[in-house]
Formats: sequence, structure tokens, C-alpha cells
Amino acid sequence: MNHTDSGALIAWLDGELPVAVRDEMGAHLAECDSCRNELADVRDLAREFGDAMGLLNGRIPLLSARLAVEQRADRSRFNRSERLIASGLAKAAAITLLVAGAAAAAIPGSPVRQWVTEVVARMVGSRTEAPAPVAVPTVVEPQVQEARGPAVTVPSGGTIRVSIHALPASASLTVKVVDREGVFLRALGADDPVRFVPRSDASVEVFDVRTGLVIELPRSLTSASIDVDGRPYYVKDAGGERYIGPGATRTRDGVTFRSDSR
Amino acid sequence: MDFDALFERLYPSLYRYLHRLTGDADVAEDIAQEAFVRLLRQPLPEAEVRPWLFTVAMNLVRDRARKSERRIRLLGGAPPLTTVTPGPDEDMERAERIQSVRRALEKLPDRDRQLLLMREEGFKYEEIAGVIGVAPASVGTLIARALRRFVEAYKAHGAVDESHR
Repeated sequence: MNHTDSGALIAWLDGELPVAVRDEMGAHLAECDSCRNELADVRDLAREFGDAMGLLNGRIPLLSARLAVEQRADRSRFNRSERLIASGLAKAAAITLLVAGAAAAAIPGSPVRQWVTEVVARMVGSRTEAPAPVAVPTVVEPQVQEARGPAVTVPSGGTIRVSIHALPASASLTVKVVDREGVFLRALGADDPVRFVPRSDASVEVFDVRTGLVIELPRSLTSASIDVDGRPYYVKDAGGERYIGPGATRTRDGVTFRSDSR
Repeated sequence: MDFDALFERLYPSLYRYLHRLTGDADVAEDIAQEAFVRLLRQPLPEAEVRPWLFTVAMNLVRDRARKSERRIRLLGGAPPLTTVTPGPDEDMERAERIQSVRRALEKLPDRDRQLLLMREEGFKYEEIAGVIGVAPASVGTLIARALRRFVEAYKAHGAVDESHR
């Protein structure tokens, strides 16, 4: 057998080796001075350690420790009971609130019911798809013909009344508001036998329009009215502008009325 | 499992181990009691109780050490050195020898200290291996080395009776 190391020797001293190994080592130790010396050295080390540990021995408070363990265990159990009770109370409170809320929500007209309805409506609304964007109506620019016919400018003192007579169904009437003084009227067709008859500085009558008529009103007018055969098409007064004639179509400059829409 | 019988049999060993390991009687008492409180909530076969108690106690010691290290780091100070105050029955020389033993133990790595103290409490090598987390076959060698380190550290304080050499 080879020489034994200190690890095997301490295990031999501690009785940790299998019987066969222990017997074999015992036989070797009986013949090997070196290993016996090593065994003595290890034994001394173990004894020195044991003696040193003996110095640290003191009185062990067994009874008081036993009582302390009991108290700590009781406290631990109590704390766990407290947690269980608190948890149970919290659950009971939650259930009570739930039941009370449901009962209140079931009463028609109750604030709770109203609130629930609103919340549900918001939730449902938020889940539904967003409505498709509303198509923005495009402004159809009417085919504005260039006015080439006879024209007249009527001075105005802040108010004007235009009365148009016997406007054909196919003829158009365009009203523009412009930054210029004086009321300007012009027939669309160069051959229109239109007649402008001023009645005063604040009134003009128009006859025999065939193709159409364009009227430009100064923005500074405080009062204006345009009528066709006694029917009001355009009114401006303290309440603002009102386009009330048939087939009114807004353009960049103003409004065009189509007589054939009447 | 008779808890009282277990307590009477195992508490002194656990307390002694912890006292030697930590050098603090209050810490040893607190941790030993806590381990037994946990044992009350953890019924075990009797054969498994002792290794289990020591394993739990070791984990508690490590937790406490981590907290203590953190506190020391935060305070920026050094760990307090274990001191021994002679009791009425202890003369100055005995107190100094106890101090030397404590210092020698403190110089050992944690694993060596645990190995030696568990062996001193009569643990089998296999149980020591399980608690420390090493191979059972290596326990003898580790114990022999740890014994040598301890005695060298103890000698450095001149506390070993040379007649034993």
C-alpha cells in the first residue's frame, strides 16, 4: 500500500473509512514510521482544535430558548392568522361593494346606472371601428361665363335694391361682393337686350336679361336686396348676408343662382 | 416527531456551532431559535432534521452576513472585531486564549470554519458534504487542510501549548 495522506488519516481517525480500507491502512501504519508520524501529527491537530473549541463552550440557555421558540412560533402563527383575516375581510368588502353596485345599477334612473351606461357606451364606442371620415363636399365651380353684355354702375349710399323682371329659366344670376364702390351690373351675353332702369340712387330695375346677369355689390353696403319678379334672392342687412334664391351655388367670388332650378 | 426531545437533543449542538461560527452569542441564539421555529412549520423525518436545521441556520447566517456587509459598506466602516469580556469565572489569561481562538477561527475561510465546526459537532462526512456542498470523498482532505490552517493561525497568537507539538 502507498503512504497515506493526511485527508485519509483524519478520515481513519473519524471512522469514516470502509472497513476494508481501514484494515488495510491499519496494516500499513503498523509497518510505516512515516505514516505513523503523519497520523500523530494529524491527531495533534485535531486535539488542538478540540481543546480550542472547548474554550469557547459556555452555558447554553436551553429552557429560555425553548420558551422563546414557542413564543416566536405563536407570533408567526398569529401573523399568518392576521394576514388570513385581513385577506378575508378585503375579499368580503370587495364582494359587498360588487353586490351593492350591481343592485344600484339595476335601479332605473339611478346615478350608478347612468354611470355604468356611460362607461359601457364609452367602452363599446372605443372598441368599434372609427367611423369613416365624412366626405367633404367639393365645391363645384359653376361654369362662369365672362360677362360681355351691357353694363351699368349704380352709385349707392350704403344701400341698394335691384329688381329683376322676367328672368328666363335658362338665365343665371351671379352676385359678387367686391372691394369697390358702386353697384356694377352687366349682362352675360353681348347680344342680350338688357335694360337697366335706375329708379333712384338706391334702386335699379333690370329688364330683358336673356343669358344671365352679374351683379357686383360693394362690401361696404349696409343694406342690399336683389329680387327676381318679386322673389328675394339675396338680402344683406344688420343680420348679415342671406342667399335665399333657387339653385344657389357658392363660388370663390360669391353665389350663382340658376334660374332653371326654380 | 417529538419536538421537545428533538429540541433538547439538537439545540445545544446548533447553538454551540453557531456561537463558534459567528462569535456572537445573541446572533447564535436568534438564528438557532429561528431555525427551530421553521422546523415547527416543516415536519421532517427525524433522520433528516439535523442536517436540515444546520442548512437553514447556515442560510440565515449568510443572509445576516450579507445585510451586515451592506450596512458596513453604507456606513463606510470596518467589520467589528469579536471581543471577549471576561466573566466572573474567567481570568485574564483564559479570556486572552478565547480571544486567540476566535481570531484564529475568523482567519479561516468560511468553508473551512464550517467543515471544522460541523465535524466537531459529530456530523458524518456525508452530511457535512451535503450541507457545505462538496464531494463526500473530499471532506477528509479538506478537514485536514483546515485543521492545519487553524493551528497555524492559532500559533500566530502564541496560544498553542507547545507541549502538544
